[in-house]
Amino acid sequence: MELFLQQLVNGLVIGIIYSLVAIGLTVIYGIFDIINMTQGTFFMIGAFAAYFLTKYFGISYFLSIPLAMVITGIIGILVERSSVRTLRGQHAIVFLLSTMGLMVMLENLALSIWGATARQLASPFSPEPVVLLGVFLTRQKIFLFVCAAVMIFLVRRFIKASRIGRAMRAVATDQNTAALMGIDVNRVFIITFGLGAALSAAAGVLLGPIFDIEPLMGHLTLIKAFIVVIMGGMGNITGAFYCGLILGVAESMGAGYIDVDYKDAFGLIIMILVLLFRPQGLLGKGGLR
Amino acid sequence: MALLGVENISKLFGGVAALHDVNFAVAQGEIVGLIGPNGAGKTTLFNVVTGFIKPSRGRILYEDRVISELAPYEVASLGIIRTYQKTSIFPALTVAQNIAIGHHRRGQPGFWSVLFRTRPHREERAETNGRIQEILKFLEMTWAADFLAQNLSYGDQRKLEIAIALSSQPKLLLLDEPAAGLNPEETTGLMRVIKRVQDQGITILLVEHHMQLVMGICEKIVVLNYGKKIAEGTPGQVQNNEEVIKVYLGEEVEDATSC
Amino acid sequence: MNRRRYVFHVILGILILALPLIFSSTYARHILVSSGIFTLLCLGLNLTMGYTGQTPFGYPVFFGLGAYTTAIGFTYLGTNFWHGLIAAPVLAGIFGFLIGYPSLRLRGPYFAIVTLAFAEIVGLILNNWVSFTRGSMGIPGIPSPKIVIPGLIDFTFNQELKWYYLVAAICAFYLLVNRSLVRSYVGEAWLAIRENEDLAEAVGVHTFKWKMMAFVVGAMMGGMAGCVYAHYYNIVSPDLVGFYYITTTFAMVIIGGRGTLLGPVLGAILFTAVPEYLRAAKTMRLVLFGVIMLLGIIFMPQGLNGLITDIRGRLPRRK
Repeated sequence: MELFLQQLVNGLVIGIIYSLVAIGLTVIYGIFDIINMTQGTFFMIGAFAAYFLTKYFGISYFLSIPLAMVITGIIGILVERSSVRTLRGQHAIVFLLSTMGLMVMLENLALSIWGATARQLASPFSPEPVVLLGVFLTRQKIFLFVCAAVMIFLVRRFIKASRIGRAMRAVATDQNTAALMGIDVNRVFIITFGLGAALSAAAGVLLGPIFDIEPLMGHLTLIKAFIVVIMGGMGNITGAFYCGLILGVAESMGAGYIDVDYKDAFGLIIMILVLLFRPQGLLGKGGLR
Repeated sequence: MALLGVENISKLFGGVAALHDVNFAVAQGEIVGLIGPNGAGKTTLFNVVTGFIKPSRGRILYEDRVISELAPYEVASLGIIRTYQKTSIFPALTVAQNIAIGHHRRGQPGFWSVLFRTRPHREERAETNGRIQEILKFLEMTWAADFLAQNLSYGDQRKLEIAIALSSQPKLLLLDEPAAGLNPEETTGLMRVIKRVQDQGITILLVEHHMQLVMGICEKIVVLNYGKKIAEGTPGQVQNNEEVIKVYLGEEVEDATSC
Repeated sequence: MNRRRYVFHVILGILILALPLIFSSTYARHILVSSGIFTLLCLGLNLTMGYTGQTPFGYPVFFGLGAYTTAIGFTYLGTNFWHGLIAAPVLAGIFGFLIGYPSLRLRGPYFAIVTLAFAEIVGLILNNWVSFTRGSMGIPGIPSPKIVIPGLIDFTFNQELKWYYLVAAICAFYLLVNRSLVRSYVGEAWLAIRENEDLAEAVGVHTFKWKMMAFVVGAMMGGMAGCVYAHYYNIVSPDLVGFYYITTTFAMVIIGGRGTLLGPVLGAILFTAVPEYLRAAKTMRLVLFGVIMLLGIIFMPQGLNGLITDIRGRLPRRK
């Protein structure tokens, strides 16, 4: 029983990170209809930004979160303007390849500048475990979960209730009609990409202190985010949230009960099965929700 | 003798009935027109007949055989070929290549024959090339053989669509708004072509908004509105049908025959 | 084939045969062989990507599977290169069928990601099934091919020069197969699928079957390339199915020009020779590939081959 609870909690913690990155991915898909391969790179950039901010600029960890989000958000906007905007109107595959090219470029640039050695992002919390109902937790993990949950809640409210959020949903449904209705479609694009990048960056900063950070850390996260988005349905924020948690828990259970080495394979297998039997995702697709 | 039978076809998307209990038949060798306002369900019906969508209720009969559950390429292999509302060609290929693909369902020499260039492959190539020339001549497009499809004029592209369809030797040809975007001269040319296709023994079912064309060449017309059939008959009968007039003109006209 | 093309091909043939004699340093010849192996890989990918228009991100999985087939065959069964040359494509073909069957029903981006997922899974297995595959250490000591007829021939492919001709011969074989398929109704079906899949289906092209064929043949080509790699470099490791090969192969095909016979060849040669020449470190090489992939997509959708055709088209014709 203890193992079960422990794995469950571990799974939820990593799962909400998946959710965060996946929400960025799914929002971008909902608006642009493209799959953004640089989503994992933003995750990495966020973590590194926080690292340098805290280590060399003496900025506190908590402050580094929004700062990293802003920095990465700006990079995201640059990405959008340079490679996504110029290719507007083309086949989906074109964006897949162009964002992949960007991903490779940015990741390896980071690799050659910062080297492959892993670094530690210092946590402001004490590493002493907190024990709750027989389950081992750290303050960092609790903070991570709460912070991520709050962010996800805010994003969802933002998209549902704010004016820009409604503009985003309109563009996601039909770009041309939205433009005719007077919505500044370009501005929506910028905000969307920036938001997606920022969310991924936040995830990177939150997870940073728990695992080492290194330039290729975005890879696996990207694939996990894909899995979540495919499970939850493209453009479905709520779906991404729940499925992120489900994936985290599934992996954790697999690691605990079956084989920890093949942990990453479980998610992949789930994704393949979902795509085969329910291509629209477990919770359906359509627009931005 | 009915070649195609549309029996009690209904199609629901979510809660919306795109088609509701549609019934009609197309006889061998006929040219039948399917008309109705936008959104009446005409293209949906085409999609159901060709297997791209499965009906929610009812069935499609072809040569007395139920075909509603077949995959699109299977439907095509039975000789039912369609064209599309939006220009549907193979853009970056030449006109000759475009037509060659239509011929695909006729001859399939097999993988090894192709690899080793044995006789079935060579025969197929010769046959395909012959067919391409035939069709180009039939549609007076021999000059265009090596043009890239995307470089043709709009009117010629629409002709190419028909060429591709003809290449697969259809028994039943479904034309989805073939005259869309054509000027009057091109439309008359199209009407001539369609009649010549009929002379080859091919049955035709077409969707069109262009009344001159529909009334000019169709032997029978079926009218749809909001997914339901509201009229069926000869052009004369349909023109004088009150329901149809109401739908198209939006008001009651006392004496339609005064036109 | 008319006179001019015939002459062109003969000259090209002579050039290819003479290349390693012109560039006679061992290093230069090594680059040639390396380009050759990548050419094989690219030609295989081109079948699925260039002709049927699908983007299988996980394509190098067949490369790795082919390489491991011959490596494992050697380690446990004592097979050699010639056995591998048959076994690797067969195994890769089987996997191509198994992976393609569920994946090819999916549209573009989903297809790309699912194939990537399969590649990741294979990578995980190769890395973790240490007892069978030796994990991330890879399988070393794979021998160079030999041709031995006792008393008559004792020939080992142990020099770059000999390898070059072997690889060139296999390339020629690939090109012949490609050409036969492409210039037939099979190739037409593929192009139709690429240009307008729905229309192709509607006129009776069994799109699924033809997509599978391109995918499986491409897989077999990748597998054979893997076998060649294994016996040339004498070692295999799990990163053969990893991101480096994915990125490199895709960059080569995109820049070289998909959907043509010569495009991938150009891409492979350029992308092996230039970075080597610049003595670029692996990471910088990848940065370069990434940039080029990006720029290539934006500015040169037809790739180098398209550029050349363009230029040739503008030159004054003599007849």
